[in-house]
Amino acid sequence: MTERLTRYLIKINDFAEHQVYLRVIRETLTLLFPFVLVGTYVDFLSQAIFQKNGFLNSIYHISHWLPGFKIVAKYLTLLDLSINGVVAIAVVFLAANLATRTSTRYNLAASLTAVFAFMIMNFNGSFLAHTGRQQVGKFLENNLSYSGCFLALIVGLVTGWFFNRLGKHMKERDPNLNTQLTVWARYNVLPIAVTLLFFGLFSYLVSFFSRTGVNGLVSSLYQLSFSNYEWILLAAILAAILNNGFWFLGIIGSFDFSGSNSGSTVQNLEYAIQHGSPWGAPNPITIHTLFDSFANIGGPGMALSLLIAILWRSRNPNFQLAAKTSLVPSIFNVSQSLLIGLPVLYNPLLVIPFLLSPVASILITWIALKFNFMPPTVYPVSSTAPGFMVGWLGTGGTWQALLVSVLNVAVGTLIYLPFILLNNRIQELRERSAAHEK
Amino acid sequence: MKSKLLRWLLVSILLLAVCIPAYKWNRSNITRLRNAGKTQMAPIIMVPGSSATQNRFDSLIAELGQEAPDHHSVLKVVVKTDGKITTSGVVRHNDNQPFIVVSFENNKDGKENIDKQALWLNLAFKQLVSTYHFNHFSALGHSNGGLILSLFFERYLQQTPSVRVDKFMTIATPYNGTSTSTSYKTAIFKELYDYREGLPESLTMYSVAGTENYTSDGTVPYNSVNFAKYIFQGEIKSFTEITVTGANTAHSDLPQNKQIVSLIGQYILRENFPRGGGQNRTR
Repeated sequence: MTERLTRYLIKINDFAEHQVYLRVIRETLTLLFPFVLVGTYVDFLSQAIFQKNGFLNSIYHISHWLPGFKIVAKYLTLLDLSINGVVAIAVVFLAANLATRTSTRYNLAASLTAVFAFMIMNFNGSFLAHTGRQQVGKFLENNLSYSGCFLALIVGLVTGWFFNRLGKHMKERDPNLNTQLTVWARYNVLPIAVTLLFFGLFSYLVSFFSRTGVNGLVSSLYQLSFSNYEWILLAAILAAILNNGFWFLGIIGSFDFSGSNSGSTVQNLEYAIQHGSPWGAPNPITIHTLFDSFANIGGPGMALSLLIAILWRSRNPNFQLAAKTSLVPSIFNVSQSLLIGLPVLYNPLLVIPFLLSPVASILITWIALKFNFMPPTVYPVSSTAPGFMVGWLGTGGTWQALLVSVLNVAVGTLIYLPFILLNNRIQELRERSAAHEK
Repeated sequence: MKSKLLRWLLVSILLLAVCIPAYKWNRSNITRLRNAGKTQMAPIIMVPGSSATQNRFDSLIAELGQEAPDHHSVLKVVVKTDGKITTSGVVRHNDNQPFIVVSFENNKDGKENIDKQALWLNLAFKQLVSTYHFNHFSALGHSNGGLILSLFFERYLQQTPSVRVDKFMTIATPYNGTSTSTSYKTAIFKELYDYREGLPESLTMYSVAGTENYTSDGTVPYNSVNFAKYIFQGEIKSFTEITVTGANTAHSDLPQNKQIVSLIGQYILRENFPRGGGQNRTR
């Protein structure tokens, strides 16, 4: 049974690896990894240390004794915004470039067009409608960061597809291609114009429906269905799957749970302050107490569990590299480099545990809360606090919450483990067949 | 093998180096949150015992006035039998810890009267909250006044959930009526015991007993004051019993007893009081 399942999963993996566009996505993310890694460390330093609410700054009072704290903080913010803040532009360039690499004639033209097309897609619709004196950004800057990666990949691939269809194939490289304007323009003006006009029209249509661009439209769609839930457990599981699923696709940060049930969170805090203890708070089970505090340890998909599973058993050198370099930021919930470097994102094998392990955590936490084993998390905790400590600190230091967090990480690791072992086997098979071919 | 051990050691040290300051930060954060919501105004509500008037605490307040570094203004409130209140005295506008003495037109003893007085106290309390906009306070009850306040905390304080009681002191309060028995339970004790789960969990409580001899202060039996533990212990944050002996320990003298005045200053007003029964220590 397990043998058949394993073979089936390996087949899926093979299939995915041979899909041209899926491979383009993977390679895009692989090429991006060093940039993301640098960005992740900048993000980690900026968020956890050089920010007022940063976890390490809070507990060690770094801003009090480190000279030049503010200067470093500003410097890091600059780096953060200009690396992580515009990473999607690199994604769209790479995706279009890799999708059209078979043709040297329009390869560069397609990449450049894709960047323009991406900016067109992120044009701020309200800038046109705007009449007042208030400043409105021309572009939706948030969509240029990680949350725009999905859109960037789509735009890059669609642009590549346009060029592959419209551009004329030529076997040999034209020596005059880059030097003679007329030659270059004659080959490329049609696909460039078609692509830009297409995306322009699309973006314009979307701006009628939504003021926040394409990504806003997508995220507003699924926020609707969660404004009024009755079964919190079910809602939390669905929300976790959706959130992690979209993480998987690269629409990061489109979900904001803290807003959807802030009322009950405030009530809980008020109660705890009045009674001096979180036990018996009026709303013990909310998406915040289930998902945010216990099912997002280390980042989306229980990233800490994934990390432990890799460091423990994986023999894949790529996995090991990504895990080792992302270890420190992941502890403080900054895990983009781990998720992109593996790449967990768009890896059909890892999608299963990536979606399952947060659900398992939610179930465990729900049971613990339901049977009053631990109080709900009521106190605010810094977002860069180590994931396994969020429950402990959020309940004001009850050991039961710490135990549940550790249990969640352990169970998550066990869920990831079979897939890491499967990856080891695929790796082995590949090496063996490579040896055969020789 | 050795390097593995070393690595584990390093990991545990790092873990501790994060956990301990994190816990400290968490604690101070919670305290800050708790204080952030508190109003500057935090009155001390005093309820006298049966048959006593709104002037019952005058000598106590005079004593406190001599000893305490801060001057407190006094508001006297009398609740009529129809729930209307009359006041005398004023709360100075920059006084954040005024004394508010709540007494009742019907100030008779007896369980039914005490039940009514707790209800009246609730009515007066709600008016005080809406007039002076405080969200925390401390309370002091002498004799049956302690019973009225206890009943009020158990049954009625939840009606104003925005207001918290910080500290509560009762002086010679007969939690088991005038019974001297250690096992017999009177009706008033049973009522207080049955409603004890309504007590606010964050309450800090002091029950002061005075004794002229080994058994009573002349009016209230020591055993009856001792019954407080069955009501408060385990239900609130902290419960402290204090027994005062020596001069001026007759039941009606207790509110102006120097030791008790000093206890009130230390525990309820939280001011820098000269300690030790009013005698200034010389160094």
